[in-house]
Amino acid sequence: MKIASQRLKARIADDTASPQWRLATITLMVAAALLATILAASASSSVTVSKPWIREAPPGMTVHAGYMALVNNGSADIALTDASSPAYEQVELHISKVVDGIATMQKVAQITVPPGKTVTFKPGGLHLMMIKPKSAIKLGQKVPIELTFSDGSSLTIDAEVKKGGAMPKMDHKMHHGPMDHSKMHHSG
Amino acid sequence: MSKALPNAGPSKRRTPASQPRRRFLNLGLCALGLAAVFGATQIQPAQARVDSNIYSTPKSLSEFKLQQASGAAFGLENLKGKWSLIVLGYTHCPDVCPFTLQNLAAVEEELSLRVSPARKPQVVFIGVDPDRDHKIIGEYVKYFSDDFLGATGEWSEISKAVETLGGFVRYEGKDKDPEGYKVFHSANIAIIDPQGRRVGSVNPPLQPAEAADFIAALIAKSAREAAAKN
Ligand SMILES: [Cu+2]
Repeated sequence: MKIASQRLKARIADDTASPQWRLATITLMVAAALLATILAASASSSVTVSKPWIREAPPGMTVHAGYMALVNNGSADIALTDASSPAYEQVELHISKVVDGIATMQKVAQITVPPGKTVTFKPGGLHLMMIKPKSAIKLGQKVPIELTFSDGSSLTIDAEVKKGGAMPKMDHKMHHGPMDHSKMHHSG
Repeated sequence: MSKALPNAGPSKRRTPASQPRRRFLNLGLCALGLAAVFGATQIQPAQARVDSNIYSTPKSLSEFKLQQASGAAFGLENLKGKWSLIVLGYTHCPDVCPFTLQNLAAVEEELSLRVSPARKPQVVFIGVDPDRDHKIIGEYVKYFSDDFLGATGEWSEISKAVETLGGFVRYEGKDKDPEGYKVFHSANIAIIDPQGRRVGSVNPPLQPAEAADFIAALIAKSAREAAAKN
């Protein structure tokens, strides 16, 4: 919307044509902006995503991990069923778990977020497994990821490439599972 | 290819960082009280414990022959005369290994505030997936800390190292996916004393300061015992 209105101003300033032409242009642009807003709203369903990021990978690694928090603002269960990114050949939904002292990692078919709840993807737990980057992924880069949900909606997010924290706020040992939402500081 | 090794360690026990249990409980209650005042979401320090497993008698290690990224040998010899923290992992591990190594880098920083350079443990990452680790292990470990050491080698030798460290490694689906297979491996961090003996392990994620206190106390205790013997 902001970009559209800026363009609109520039257009008006430059425009030397008749008032009718100006009016038509404005109408058209406003309509386009409205349409875009409506489309975005219908595509994003009841889920919002906060703090998406990808761990900057050490040199040579061809699999990266992405993290985020999924917030279900709706009144029914919704599940993340698929993810993809133009920057990677493949993206899978994964969970890391320590079972009897062994670090394991499993692909999961879908991740359900109950209504009103948040599911947090974080190191050592749920993650987006980003497989084979198509080109070098750099610190600070924003990587688009498309998320598809069980209600057929989809959402594109920009995950920033960051250095992983040494100790993301403790502690999965104490009382939180991957379903933990007590640590979320979402603004929306 | 798949290889499983039994975990030779005794049953796991959580050890408070140093306090006797009673005192520890009191601290815990106190922390709970504080948490109730400040809101329960950000509880941590006082009652956080180091998830560890320390043996009553250290276990001697047997020989293995790996290589460092530089090409230099890495075996039992390299574990003598200094403390070591050893992690098993693989360079194509996207989530757990980078997390653990980053965590260890923070512990190492805290440790350097607590112990003399001579007593500061070296951190060793053993790449248990030589096919993919061999070429990149040097750069990989340096990404986390200039002081970290990476070693890998022939599978037969890795398997010896894993066994003597009481660890476990299993390749998952290497036949089906020769490029993208996963490797399941021990999650803990082995602690080796300057005699090259395994004294126990700690389990990530570690609170850097607490873990450093714990390890520094272990090092000091061992030094006191050695001094008493002489
Ligand atoms: Cu994964």
